[in-house]
Amino acid sequence: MSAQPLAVSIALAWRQLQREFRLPEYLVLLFALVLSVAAVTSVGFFANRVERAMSAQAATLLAADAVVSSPQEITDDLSDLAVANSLTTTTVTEFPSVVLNEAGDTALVSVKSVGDQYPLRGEVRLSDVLYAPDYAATAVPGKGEVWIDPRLAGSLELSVGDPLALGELEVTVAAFISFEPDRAGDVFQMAPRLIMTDNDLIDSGLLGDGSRARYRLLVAGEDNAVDRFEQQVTDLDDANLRYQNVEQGRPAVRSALTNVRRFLGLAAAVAVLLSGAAVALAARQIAERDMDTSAVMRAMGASSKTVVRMVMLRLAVIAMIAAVIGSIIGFLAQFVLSALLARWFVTELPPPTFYPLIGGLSCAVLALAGFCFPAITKAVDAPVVRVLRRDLPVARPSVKLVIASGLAAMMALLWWLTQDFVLGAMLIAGTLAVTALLWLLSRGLIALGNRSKSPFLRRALEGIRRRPNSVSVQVAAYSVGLLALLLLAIVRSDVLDNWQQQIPEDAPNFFMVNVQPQEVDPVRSFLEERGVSGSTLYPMIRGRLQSINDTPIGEGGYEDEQARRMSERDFNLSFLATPRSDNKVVAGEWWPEDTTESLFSVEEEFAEETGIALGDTLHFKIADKTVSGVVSNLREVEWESFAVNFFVVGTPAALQAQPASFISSLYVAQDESGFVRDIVRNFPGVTVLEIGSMIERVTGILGRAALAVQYVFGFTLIAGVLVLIAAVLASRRERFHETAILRTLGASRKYLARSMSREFLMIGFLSGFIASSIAVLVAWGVVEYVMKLEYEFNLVLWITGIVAGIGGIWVAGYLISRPVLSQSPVSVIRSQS
Amino acid sequence: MTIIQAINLSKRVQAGDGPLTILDNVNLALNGGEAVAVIGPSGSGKSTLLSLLAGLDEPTEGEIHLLDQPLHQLDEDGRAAVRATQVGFVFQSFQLLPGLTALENVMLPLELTAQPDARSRAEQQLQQVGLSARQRHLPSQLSGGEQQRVALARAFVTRPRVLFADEPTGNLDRATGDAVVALMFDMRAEHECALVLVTHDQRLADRCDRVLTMQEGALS
Ligand SMILES: Nc1ncnc2c1ncn2[C@@H]1O[C@H](COP(=O)(O)OP(=O)(O)O)[C@@H](O)[C@H]1O
Ligand SMILES: [Mg+2]
Repeated sequence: MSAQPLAVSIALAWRQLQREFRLPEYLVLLFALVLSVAAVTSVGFFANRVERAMSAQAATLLAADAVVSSPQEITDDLSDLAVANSLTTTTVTEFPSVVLNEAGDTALVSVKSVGDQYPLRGEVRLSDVLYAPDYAATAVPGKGEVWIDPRLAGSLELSVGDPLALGELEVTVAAFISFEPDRAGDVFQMAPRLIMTDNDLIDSGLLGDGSRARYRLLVAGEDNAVDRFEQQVTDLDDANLRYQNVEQGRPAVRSALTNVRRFLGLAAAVAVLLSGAAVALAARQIAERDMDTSAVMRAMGASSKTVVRMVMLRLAVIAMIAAVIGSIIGFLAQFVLSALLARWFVTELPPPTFYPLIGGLSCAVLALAGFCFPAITKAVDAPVVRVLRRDLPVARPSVKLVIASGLAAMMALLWWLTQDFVLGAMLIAGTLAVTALLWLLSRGLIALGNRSKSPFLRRALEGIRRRPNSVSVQVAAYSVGLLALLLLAIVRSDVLDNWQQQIPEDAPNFFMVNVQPQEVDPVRSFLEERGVSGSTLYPMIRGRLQSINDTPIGEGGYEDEQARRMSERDFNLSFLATPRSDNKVVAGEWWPEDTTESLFSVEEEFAEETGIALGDTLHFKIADKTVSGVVSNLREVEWESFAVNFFVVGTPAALQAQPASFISSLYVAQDESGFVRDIVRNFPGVTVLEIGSMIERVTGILGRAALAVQYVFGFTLIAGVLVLIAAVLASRRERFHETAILRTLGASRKYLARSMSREFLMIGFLSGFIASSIAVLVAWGVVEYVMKLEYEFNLVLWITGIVAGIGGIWVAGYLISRPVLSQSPVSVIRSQS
Repeated sequence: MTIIQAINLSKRVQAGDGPLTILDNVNLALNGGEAVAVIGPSGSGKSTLLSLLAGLDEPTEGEIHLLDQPLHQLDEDGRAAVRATQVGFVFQSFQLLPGLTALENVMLPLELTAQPDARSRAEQQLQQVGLSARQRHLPSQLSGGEQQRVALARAFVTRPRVLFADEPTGNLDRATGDAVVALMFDMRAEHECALVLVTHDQRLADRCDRVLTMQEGALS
């Protein structure tokens, strides 16, 4: 009385699968799963490669796997601890100093004294002649030798072989540094670099008492050894020691890439969501078939366990096949992604690991479980008496249950894809809302068409009228895919172009920073001499916001994470007597030119985010002092102008006495080539940054990123086509019946073909029109209201969308429904019984 | 020897406007090898009775003993196990699995009981119904009469003790139906298999040992 052995279920399931695999429902199911797996794994493989590249790169950014730094000399205990963990170690000591050339000119340098093993990761690149091709250093500088920053070479007129006085030593310039892996700190503040060997350190006599040196212990080795070492360092509980590993190395780059990964993940997720709809539609048809099959099997004596097993086995095999094919496609597709985004990476991307395959398989399993399971398990439960009474009402799974379990599966998947629950929920809500909107729109348009008196329209709508729901599903599904693609095409072409064109010809193309107070007048006359006009040098003071009124920062709680970070670290303040013409005071009033009060002017959005209000008293910590003042006005700033701007500007009375450097943005004509070199030569401490190439890089990267996301959205369009096919298939049985009746009534095959073709043309037009129009509307909204630029209607894109709609739906729908026509009426009737 | 015994069998369902009695206190006994016809107008409860006797459905009240198994006490899987070895079916709408070939359809019940010689036995059985040449055809490629003959082969391939047939000729024209019925009675005789035949065709009923008439849920 026991159930049949498992082998029986396997054999039967396998045969059934072999037979039924040719059925279009199964093909749609398989394709939809393959598609989700491909979308998920392509992004997964790509992200995997990027992550591997990043951790490899991050290691070179530290020149080690981890670094312990301290204001005091690294003790032997600490380095012994590292050695005890089988880690390779070396030390680095950094401090400021002054060097003299033969002529007696001096320059401030940032000295870095390195141990013999430096660097543990990455390489130092050197050149013998300024700006000549560089090569990798094979050792650290020898005794009595130093490597120097080309900037120092410019200011002290040094070449390789020249002598230099460094503390009590006389050293020789052995090479120019063209790349230094662990260049720490921010570019703005740094004096030119000089690298020397630890073997000279004592003799140089530079490490006296107030030497402001920073000591580092670099370590490298096996991951778990590094982790163990970290734990031991943490256990020492020494407030002076700061431990930094690769992950903490470069948060900015990491978060930028995390965002891209998230966007790609979202694009893949939309494809998965839509494929889910196709899976659900196909599963419904398969379940209907299974109801009869399982009733017959059970009548023959199959136990319910056997029947359930057969269903599960079949699904498992389908999931496996989909996972394998999908992963292969995903693997191939990620090459395109990597090529599209190649410019982001300095180094070649390493090959991916197989970890993303787990994601692919779980994607197939989850989608099947979520969308198929309720339908198919219900089919298994169909009453056995159905073999006698086919008309017996069958229990279909409630649509709500299917949707709920499908969504639950999708949430799990999305969470995995974007690692962000809220984002996933928002995406599902968004997609559902858009789909519902599209569905309503198409219902509305169909209803409108029905009212029309035009005989052409009425006849074209004749088929659509008979199945408005199925048609609306087709339109909604296909439009979502099309809409996603069109929107990205618009972002890529219209929005980015608009933005780039909006930058005026004579917008500043250089930033000049770190101008010392005594250099302000010479720099000004240098600029005048070179015909560079219209630029102001703004004082820049580093400070940290300590408290607003009497509330210390960090206690109030910020709505915006960015604002919190903003106020927790040093940022730049400036002072100004007269208001700037490009800043608009939006609340309060600008101060009189000769005021002696301590007042602040705060940028509007910054004030809002940090919770600063007009009349508040702000306390800043600048150097070692506290500077306080009242907020007397709020300003609106046009950040897009590339002019120098500050969140907080004070009165001269408030800030003039504080240590400041100066900053400016300038426009230098393209042909002024020697400009940068001359600045560096004349003002070695000044750093010049070119904005032009930065803008180009930013728009280039944005364009590429949009293209990559659009590429992934390609999967979405295909998923839309699959839903369309599934919906057409679902209506095919009904169509068979309809056609048979029409044929017996004497309709010619040609007449039926024409009316079917017209029906799909109409559906295609509807879907293209809706998607195109929404895309154009969104683009207009973004350009006009978010970017505040003028939008130019893109007729070509609009028409392309409509044509794509008509083309896609007509081809898919017509091809799938054609077999209906080629059947003879008799066979149509027979297959009904 | 009694192989089927139904005692005070009733079936009631919850219909749209209150409870509906389909079978009312039916008693019936059938001996091994005996053929019984159940006739009666459409909707009188014939198929319902058959589904209860064969263990496809559960009675609301009463007892059914099929080959010494108390069907009314077994659950669905228990009844399935009885069906798998002891019972054959022929339906009005054939009920062949559309995805399987004629041969595979016949093999199915043997495979469900994990019989090693399923293929050869099924081939033999198909030969007996005269369809050796159509082994590899799908049901959709066979005529109604051929499909019903495949169904007969499938029903007898397990050598059942009792065959349940519900309007086996209902979907066939008269000549084809007659041929199928002749084949069914031949095979039944050869297998010494009892038969419960539901029909509304008096000619068919007359070929049975006993004829029972169903009228509004009651046997007479
Ligand atoms: N599960 C059910 N739910 C509701 N009504 C049913 C059900 N099963 C049978 N019936 C009704 O019971 C009556 C007898 O059905 P059936 O046994 O199929 O009759 P027959 O086979 O004699 O034509 C019919 O009126 C039928 O509609
Ligand atoms: Mg009946």
